[in-house]
Amino acid sequence: MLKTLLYINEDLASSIALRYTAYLNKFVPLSLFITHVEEPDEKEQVGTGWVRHTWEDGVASSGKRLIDRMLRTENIDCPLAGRPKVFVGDREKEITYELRNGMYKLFVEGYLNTADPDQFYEVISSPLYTKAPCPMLVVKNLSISKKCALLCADSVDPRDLVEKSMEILGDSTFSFDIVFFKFNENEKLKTLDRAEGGSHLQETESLLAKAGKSVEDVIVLSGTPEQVGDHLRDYALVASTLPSRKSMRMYVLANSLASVLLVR
Amino acid sequence: MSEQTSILILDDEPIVSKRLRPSLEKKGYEVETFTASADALKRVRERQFDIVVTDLKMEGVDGMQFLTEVKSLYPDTEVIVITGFATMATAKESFNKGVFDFLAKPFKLGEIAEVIAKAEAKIKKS
Amino acid sequence: MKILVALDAKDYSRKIVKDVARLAENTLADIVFLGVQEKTNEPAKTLVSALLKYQSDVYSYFSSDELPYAEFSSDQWQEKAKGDWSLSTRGMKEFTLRIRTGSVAKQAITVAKELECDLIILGCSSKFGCEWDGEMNVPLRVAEDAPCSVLVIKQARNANQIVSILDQSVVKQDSLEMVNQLVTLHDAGLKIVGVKEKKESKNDEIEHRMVELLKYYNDREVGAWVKLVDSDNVKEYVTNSSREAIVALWMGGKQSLIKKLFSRSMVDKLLETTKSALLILR
Repeated sequence: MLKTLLYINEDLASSIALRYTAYLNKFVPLSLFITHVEEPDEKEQVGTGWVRHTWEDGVASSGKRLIDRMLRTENIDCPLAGRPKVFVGDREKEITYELRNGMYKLFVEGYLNTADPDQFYEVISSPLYTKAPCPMLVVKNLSISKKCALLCADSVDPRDLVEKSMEILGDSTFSFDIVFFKFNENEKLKTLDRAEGGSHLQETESLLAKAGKSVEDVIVLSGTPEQVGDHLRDYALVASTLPSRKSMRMYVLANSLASVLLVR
Repeated sequence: MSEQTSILILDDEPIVSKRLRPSLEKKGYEVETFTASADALKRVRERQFDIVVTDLKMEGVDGMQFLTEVKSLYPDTEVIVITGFATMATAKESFNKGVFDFLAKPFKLGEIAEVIAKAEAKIKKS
Repeated sequence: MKILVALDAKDYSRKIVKDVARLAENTLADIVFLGVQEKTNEPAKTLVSALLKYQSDVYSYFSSDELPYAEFSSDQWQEKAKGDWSLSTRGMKEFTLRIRTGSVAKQAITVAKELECDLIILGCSSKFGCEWDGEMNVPLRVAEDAPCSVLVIKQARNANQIVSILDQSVVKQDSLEMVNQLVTLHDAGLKIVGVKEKKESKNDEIEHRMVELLKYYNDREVGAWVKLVDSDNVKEYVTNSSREAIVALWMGGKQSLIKKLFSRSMVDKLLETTKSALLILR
């Protein structure tokens, strides 16, 4: 069972994330914990000692009610491993602390998919992601797919990609494709010969075989990030290493209609 | 069977029953509506309806399973399929199972009322 | 479902018949083929033979034991009114040939209203504005006043994606169902694109609608994905999408943002760039 922390807010992104996580659980058995952070305005924060403690309890209860409402509304078919965890404070700090403290293997949160790649970059370049102790799953859409893709490019270290992805997906019942991305401003997305993927692609394939996973398809795609991102829609998720800058691969992940698993 | 023709409508989108029910009741039919196939299945096991109108794509027991059950319980019941995701294959399968008609959504109330009237005429003739 | 197909003897009409046949095969719809001609006292021979040829092409798409339409017992056209002829047959479903005089756009709208059609289908020449034998902007003029959704087919080809553009307007059940039939016909995925307004307050409604639709399709195991696009970029986004996908525009009420964004010239441009079809939803 993969110890997983799912972040929930009372918003549509979380509503998608909840449903998606229940779907993911069918393929990767999860030991699922839910968390929410109440971030009070500075003006709202009152007193010290007992007064502050009582006020924090009040804020935390309202967070618990929020999670209850979300769980009731979505009525998800995925048992929780423990009581929802509600914290009061800075969202990123609290989640990072909980991820480390609880030794989670995976963090999941919803993201309302936009065509603006900068918004996506803002999320994945935040300290929550860059300093995360575990892989992070950005849920962009729901899925009915039984397949995952490992997204490679020249900038991706095959060992990191395969080893870290398999820590999450190794015991799953998903089937796997390897997608190698090459940027090109074609009018249409092109599929190239496998040899165009070079040694990185070969290594990814052999590492995956060593991990006991057979690859269903190896695809070398040449096109724009928008075209490739669209093409990735038929996967339940796309795994890749966390981009450290605004590279073309980052733009592919930003444009991916499928949810994105970021490993480091 | 009473004089009044009885109709069961099963569609997981509530708006369909909401539109159909008043219009059919106004025409003198006895109408029961369901949005969950399990509930509709329970009801048809309790009593026979003259006409069953069912959607195909639904969670749980899908429309094809439902209409198969209806036809096996009551071969005389006329089944009308309504579907938002129509294919030749589902139409063919429906007719093989003995459905009276197959309507793709969207349709006007007049269209389904006409089909129901024909099904009713067939029942009364036999 | 009742489908009105506006046709003439030109190539852009001939090209759409296969798609019409596929849709008829899937939906077992009642079909009306409408031809429009100049004012004369009888149906023009070229138009009559074109409509009969198209009808026979649709029939030949079905195997004989699956044809839901009856054969035409005679070719005696009935004059319903002055300049309005009809030839109809009824099997399990109805097939009608209709010829009227006047403007194509006006007659298509009139007949669609009279027969309470659920969809109007028409072809589009590759000329600017989809000129129909001297009549400009036919698809667009039909779409503006049609009582139902309008499918403009440029090329009969399979699209693997339907891109549905959504604003804050109410999504009508009929329109949703029409999208569903297209998704099924093409065995395509559905991308639901929400247009983000500059006014943040209106976006909640759009986002809410998008997510509801996403869940609706997910429940029915139909591949669907959401994406939010800024109103400033939506024209470019849609134009690019129209190259490969079928674009479905929900042109809702008077306040429709899409209606404001997609002026006549913009829809013309979309019709120019699309390689498959454009669905204008009411």
